[in-house]
Amino acid sequence: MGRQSGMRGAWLGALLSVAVIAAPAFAEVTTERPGSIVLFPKVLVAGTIDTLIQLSNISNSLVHVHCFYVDGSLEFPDLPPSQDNQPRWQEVDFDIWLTKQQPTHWVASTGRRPAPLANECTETNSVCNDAGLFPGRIPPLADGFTGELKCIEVDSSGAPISGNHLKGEVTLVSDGPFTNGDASKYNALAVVGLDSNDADNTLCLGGGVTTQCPRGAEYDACPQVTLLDSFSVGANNPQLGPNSSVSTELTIMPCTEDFERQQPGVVTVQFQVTNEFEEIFSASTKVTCWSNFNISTIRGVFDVNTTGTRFLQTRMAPATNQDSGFVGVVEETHRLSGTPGSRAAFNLFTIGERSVADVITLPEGP
Amino acid sequence: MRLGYYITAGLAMMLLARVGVSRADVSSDQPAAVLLFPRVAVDSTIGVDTLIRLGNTNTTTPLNVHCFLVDATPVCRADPTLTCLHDSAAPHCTGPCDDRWNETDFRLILTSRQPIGWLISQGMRDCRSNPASDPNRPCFQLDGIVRTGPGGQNNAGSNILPAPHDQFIGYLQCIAVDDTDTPIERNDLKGEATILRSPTPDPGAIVKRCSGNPSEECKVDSECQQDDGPCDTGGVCDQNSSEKCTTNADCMFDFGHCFVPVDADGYNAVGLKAITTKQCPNGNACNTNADCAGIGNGTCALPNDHNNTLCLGGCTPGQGTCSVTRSQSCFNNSDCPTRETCVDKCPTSDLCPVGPEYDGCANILLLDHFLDGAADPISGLSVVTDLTLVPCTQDYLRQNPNKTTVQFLVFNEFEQRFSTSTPVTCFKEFRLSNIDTTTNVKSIFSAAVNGTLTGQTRIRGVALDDPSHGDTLIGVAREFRCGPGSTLAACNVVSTSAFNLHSQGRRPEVDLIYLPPN
Repeated sequence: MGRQSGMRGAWLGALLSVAVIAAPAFAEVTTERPGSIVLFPKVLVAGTIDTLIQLSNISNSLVHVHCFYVDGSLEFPDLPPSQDNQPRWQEVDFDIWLTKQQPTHWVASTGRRPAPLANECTETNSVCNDAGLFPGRIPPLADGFTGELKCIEVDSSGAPISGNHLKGEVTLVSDGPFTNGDASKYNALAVVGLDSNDADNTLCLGGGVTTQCPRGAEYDACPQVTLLDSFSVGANNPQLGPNSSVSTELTIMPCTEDFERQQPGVVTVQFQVTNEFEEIFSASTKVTCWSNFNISTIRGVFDVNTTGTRFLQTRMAPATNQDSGFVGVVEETHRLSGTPGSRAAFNLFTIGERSVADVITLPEGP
Repeated sequence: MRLGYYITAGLAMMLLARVGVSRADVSSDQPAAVLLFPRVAVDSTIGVDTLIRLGNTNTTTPLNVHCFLVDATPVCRADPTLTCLHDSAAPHCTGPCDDRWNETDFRLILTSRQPIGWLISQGMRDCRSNPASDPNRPCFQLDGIVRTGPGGQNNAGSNILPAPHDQFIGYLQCIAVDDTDTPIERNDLKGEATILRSPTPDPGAIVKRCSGNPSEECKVDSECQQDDGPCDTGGVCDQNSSEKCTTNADCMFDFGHCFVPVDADGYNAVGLKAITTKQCPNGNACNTNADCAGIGNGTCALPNDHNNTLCLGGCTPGQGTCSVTRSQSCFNNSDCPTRETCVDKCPTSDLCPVGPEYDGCANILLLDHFLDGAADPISGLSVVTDLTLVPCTQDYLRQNPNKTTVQFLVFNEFEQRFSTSTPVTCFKEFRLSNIDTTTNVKSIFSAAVNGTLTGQTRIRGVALDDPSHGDTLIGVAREFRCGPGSTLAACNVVSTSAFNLHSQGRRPEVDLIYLPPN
């Protein structure tokens, strides 16, 4: 009986792994499945907020990962964005390695250093940040960093591969005196790699055969439409009552990036806002490199005095095919008047895939 | 006999993976025809409520929705009037508890692109029946008489039931249907849940309670039993959150007010997409019958038969694989190259005669988490995680929940592996470090046992050979940061963050949703 059960398990295990390997590709960027490129759209080391990154290998073999931080903060952070005050678009890259099924983590402001004598977690020691197999040296980010992290699965030579072994999560934690411990969490977005990956430094996300992408799509495409369900600006939370408010912060990260020439992706995002009366309002904004903004800054189309209802559904899409595709994440702060409030992050829903390719160009290796 | 079944099932899985329609699995980032909110809760004694947001993403057509609110609040065996929600400040059970599984259903209509939102404790009604004295109670704005949408669409006939009682925990499932309540293949539903713990209405009169057992009021720590944690209000001064308070007078030196902080967390509803492409009997996409010539009965049709049994995933009955050219699917030997036979055929099914109508649930759920008791390196607070699991198979017809054995494989940052298992019937929410033991610190989910800060857990419902139900699961995780004086079992919650689980793979066994007759 025991032997039979063992055989059963062995059969199932073997076949399940086949199923996992052979499963057909998914069409779009996903927040719930592993992929070969993992996008963390919102990484902050600013004010009282710091970011904890979790990254895992879901396979039974060693995985090499090449990651890029991109600083999207403005040259003069205290001034509004303008022609003379563009995002820095400063990238820093590093390599890490994850063993079989290994989860790892790091705090963005401190990175990760070798710590062979790091204390393990015990019943009496819960401060054990560096315990575990060392994944590789990860640079710390300076205070004021506001931007993104992108991690790409590569082989031992550094060439991009379609292993689809990576998943990740982000926790934005406040350590301020009034909000210590307030945290919001979202899943990293994963881009599934396809068999057509030619392992060069030009990563083609969706689209057909072009000069830049002679083999067509090497990874799944970025979404055609991104959906945001939000509170109107100025509407209260029905549970907290009239003295409450909900603010919505949207982060947008273009899919196209050229790390070789330091050319940021640019996208004009079109917003179509529908209220509970089924009335439609529209607006647009231009995002270069990376942007994190409160939706109240998008003219008045999100304002409750304009929309007249508490809840809104917004469809967001690149204005033209010449624009970069984009992905994003949203964070809400629910607060009672006069109190710091509490944050909750959500991944965005998406519909369809872009018909044109978004291209990530990696810097040339050694 | 069973071994044979498993071999067949395994081979069918290979077949599924290699041939047939390219079919995604559950999804929490794309609109779908079936939505599940795995955890909704109400408890007025601690200010907890759940805001549900639901939207029709279709840009032109209204959508009828049939929703099932399932009450899974465990009740006291000795006194069924008491619940077993140990976080509640209401009197609750201290003895053995029984699971409960009661569903109530309701219907609503969403006009094109329309977003709505309601509190689980309140529900939502037609605005005409909403008393003027209750202006804050949400109601459907487009009643069809006073107001209709620009295209003449409205919400007439919609009525969302509130949770049947306070101290409620359970889940909500919504299904796209037509105006006769027949399930249809419209992947237009999306939703989010926000669970919010709000301050007490009168901050000046915050009551002190034992943090690990909020039903116990107290004045000093010594009045709380050892496992019930310190005597605490949860209140802090708004100008200095490190300063605890019971009344505003305690905050005088900070010129502030005493309040219990708001704590919000949210997750996306998990969706199951209906299969919307016409298929030949072998599962290949088609436009006309001509595309299916020589394949099975040669018909090109949508797989959804629109009956009250929803087939989620699984394999197509009668479909096999060629004995040598394994990548080629077949129904008969003649579908295979010369001298090959069609083998490992998917068994016929009375419940799902044409195979899957909706995407299947995931074979494995992936959860990356802090190991319980680890200190968050940013805030310094200890972290614990609760996991909520709901079976993918739902029997709303007979109210007949199935028991699924759930296997957990835990990997720490040293690549070391631990495993355990537990049964789940209908709905289960547990602290990770209570899955395998009642002594949390000895659990394979605790940081003290693993030695590292984070872990990765693979969660799998064990498949049984019962064609009337599957054994996959849907879940959501909630991470708590705990204040001073907390234990792993009794977290004095400072903040909560929820997140959706990742998923991997699919399986040949079908999951089913049985709806009551129209």
